[in-house]
Amino acid sequence: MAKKARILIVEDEAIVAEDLEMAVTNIGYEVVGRAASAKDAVKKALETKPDLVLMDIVLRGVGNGIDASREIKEKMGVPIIFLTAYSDVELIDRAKSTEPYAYQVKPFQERQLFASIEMALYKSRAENELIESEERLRLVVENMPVMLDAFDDKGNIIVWNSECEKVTGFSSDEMICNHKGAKLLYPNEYYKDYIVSMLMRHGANFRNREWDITCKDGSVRTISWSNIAEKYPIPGWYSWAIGLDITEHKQAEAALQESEEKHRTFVETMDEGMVIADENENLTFVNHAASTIFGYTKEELLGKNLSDLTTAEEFQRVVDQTAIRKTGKSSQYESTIIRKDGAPRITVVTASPMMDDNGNYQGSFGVFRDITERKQAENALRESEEKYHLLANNTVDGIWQMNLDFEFTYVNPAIIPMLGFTQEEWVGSSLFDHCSSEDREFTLNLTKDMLKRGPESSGETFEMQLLHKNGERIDVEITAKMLFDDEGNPVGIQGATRAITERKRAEEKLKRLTLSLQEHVKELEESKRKIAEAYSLREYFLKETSHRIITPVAIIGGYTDLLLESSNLDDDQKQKLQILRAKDAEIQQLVNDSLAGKYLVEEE
Amino acid sequence: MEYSILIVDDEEAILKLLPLFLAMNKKHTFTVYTAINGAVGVEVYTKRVSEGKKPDLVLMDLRMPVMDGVEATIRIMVNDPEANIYLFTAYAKTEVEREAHDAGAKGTINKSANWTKTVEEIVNVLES
Repeated sequence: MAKKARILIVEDEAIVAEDLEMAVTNIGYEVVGRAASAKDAVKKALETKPDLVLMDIVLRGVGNGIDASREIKEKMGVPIIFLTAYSDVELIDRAKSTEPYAYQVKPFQERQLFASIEMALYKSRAENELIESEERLRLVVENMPVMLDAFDDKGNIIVWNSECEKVTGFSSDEMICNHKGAKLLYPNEYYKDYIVSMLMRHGANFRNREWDITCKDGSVRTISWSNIAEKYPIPGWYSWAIGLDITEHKQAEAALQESEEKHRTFVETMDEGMVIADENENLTFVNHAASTIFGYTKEELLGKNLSDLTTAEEFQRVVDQTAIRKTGKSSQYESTIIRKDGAPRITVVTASPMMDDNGNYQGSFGVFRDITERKQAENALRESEEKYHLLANNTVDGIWQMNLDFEFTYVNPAIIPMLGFTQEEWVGSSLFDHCSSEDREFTLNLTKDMLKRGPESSGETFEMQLLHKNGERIDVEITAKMLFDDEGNPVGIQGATRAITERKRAEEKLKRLTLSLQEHVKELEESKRKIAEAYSLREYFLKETSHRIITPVAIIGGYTDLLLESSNLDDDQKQKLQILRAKDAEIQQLVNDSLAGKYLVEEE
Repeated sequence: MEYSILIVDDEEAILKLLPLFLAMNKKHTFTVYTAINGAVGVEVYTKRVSEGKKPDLVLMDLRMPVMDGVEATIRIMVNDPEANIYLFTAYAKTEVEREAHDAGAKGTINKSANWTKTVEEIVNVLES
């Protein structure tokens, strides 16, 4: 006690007061005032606020020390030591009621006084500390953000702290010793019965049991109650409990759960596989899609190492990718996994590293898709495109595409030998740069036609002449088809072009030959007619002339033979007759040969 | 054998020559009737048939005045479908000959400078 204790002396006898003051000062205290009457005593006490009052019981004027004491005690908590003489026994009795700290019998000894004052001060301090401590506790209990209620053996509420008031809206006046208290908190009969029976079961020994109460404004709040009265009974309270308003907490919990539920549903229903692997590539989490893609159940997958699910060389790539992630970077790559049934599946993986607060690699979080079919389709498409390109680049026929403005957007290499242009020169050029104006007319009409007929029509085939780079006109046969998109809108024209120069030449030749053949046939007919005429002439000759020649020839021959039969012919006569006969035979032969057509050939 | 032949021809020399050469044939003997045109030919044939001396062979020339060989053949055939008529002409392959054949002539014997050959043909026809 560094500070000097401050004492107020209340004594009506001046000399005693004087002595007291001296003694007190000697001891080491400070005297803050002197009073001789009760009234004065109270006044001075209030003024000076002493640490202790030395009060004479018998005082001058109205009232004695006991009265003054009482009044002072009402207003302040100051220890009072009564100064008394033995003869004041009756007064001493009365003095008890004011709870003095000590009696000091007059005349006093300094030592005694000192002891009394010290003790009184000490006690007072202790009391004050206790009061303060109690006050503190009371304030805590009264104002803490924890509900506190206590019950009597009949179940009535006897304690209802301000947190209870704040949370429920019911004041302690409304609740304390209110038989209907339970009904207020649990307006639903069934619920009330349930709570009551539950409490009866658990009695005064439970922690953190949650149930709902209805507040004054009708709202429902969830409280987490704990009752340990069994182990820690409080005298005067049959039972007591504390409660925490966890309504918001519960709502947050519910919201979190809903959110978690949503996330979990999302994770479990998404098409992409999702896995978490630790730093040793062991799977610690897999979603439903992952188990489908891998072909294992979730239970089978968890705990598997990635090396179990892929080939050795693929696993090396996985390890390489993990190395990238260990530096904190995400990675995306394609990886082939081996399904449970042994089938290899191509997947595309996006993986992010999970680092702890110290930047250490904890594992990775990966999302992946099975793109096997897509890759197969891509490969098939690419093969098909390659085949198409192979075909397009090696075919002799020109293959081309143009937009709706008749500008070429693609042409294959066949254009080079066909028309002398390079592909670069051709692409971007207009069709009308390469054909005549009549052909332009024709093309526009044809295009209108194709538009009208729409996507269902097949291509059109027609002949045209295109200009070679060197100016020459090249006969071509073109097959063209209009291209439409899915909505039936025209997007361009595509087709094939074949040089038909040879064919055209052949056609021309055939035409010429046919004409000349016809001419020839005409000539032949003419000849035939002439021959027929000739034959008719011959017929005529035969008819008219042969008879007239042969008859005389026969007669000459007959008579000559007869003459030769004569016996009186000399050699000379015979010879002459034989010559005649021979010549006649010649004539006959000549006529026969003529008739046989022998000389016709020579005539021609 | 004895055969009778009717020769119908508008050339007198032919009518004279034929019997002369026929007479040279040692195997057979011939009786030769002559006619100067188709009409006379039909007349003579009819007469001889009525006398019971139907000619075994008729040699019919085609080009004759008054009546030609085709008509004469038809007329004879009409009366006697069995008449053995042969054309006696320079050349057989004319339309007229065809007509005559159609009319009923059984064949043709060609006139030629070689009467011996002609007589041989006649004999073949008669003998067959």
